[in-house]
Amino acid sequence: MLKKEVTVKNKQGFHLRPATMIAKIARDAASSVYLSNGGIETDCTDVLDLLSLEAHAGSVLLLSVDGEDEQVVMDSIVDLFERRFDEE
Amino acid sequence: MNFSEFIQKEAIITDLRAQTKEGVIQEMVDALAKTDKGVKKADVRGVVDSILRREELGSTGIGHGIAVPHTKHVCVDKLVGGIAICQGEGVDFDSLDAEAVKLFFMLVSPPDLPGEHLRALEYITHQLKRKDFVEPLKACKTREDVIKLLKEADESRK
Repeated sequence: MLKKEVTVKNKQGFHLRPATMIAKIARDAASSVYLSNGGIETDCTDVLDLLSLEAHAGSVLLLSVDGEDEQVVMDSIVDLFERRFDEE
Repeated sequence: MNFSEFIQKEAIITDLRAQTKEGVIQEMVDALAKTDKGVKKADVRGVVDSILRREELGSTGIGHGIAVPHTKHVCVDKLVGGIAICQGEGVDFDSLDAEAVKLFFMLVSPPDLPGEHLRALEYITHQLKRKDFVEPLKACKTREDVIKLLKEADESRK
């Protein structure tokens, strides 16, 4: 299992588009993918669950990936956060 | 934030006619143009185009038969929203889970108030996770039924 902290850097926060982008990766992954915010953990395959994290600009989340493609999936999602979900 | 702050009653549709993504968006924006605080008629085309451009970035069909088409537009000075329910088989919205969509929440917000948009989305999300809200909402046959359900949902959050 891999774990890494990621920060919501885009000004608009963790809204529908970022959640959907992550859910797409998680759904195609051969690994389990979870994000947690302040102790609340959610499965990344569901957009509603991701939005329930109520992560705003500046929130630091914990990304956990466990499975055969965990490194590729981790790198893809970390990259999304770093690129600010291509919003800015 | 609660439904009464942004859902425009005149923009609640329980007999959605459209059968395509573009048609749904047009029908819902037309409904928002019927409200005092919603979209002005002259801005309908602009808002529809803006929502469609947002859809091109990625479908707002989030799964479970639900979609949240939205945009930011200068024609509104506060967040306004509408709800549409499809009584039939649902509309192909290119959703994440490939399921047809039967329940639509539309949000149109001012460009300079991203926080308001996010709070509305979080509120909608919270309510949609409640089975005792989402299933009765999908089954609503009249605007009055929807209004009553939204009011109960708002009361449950107090």
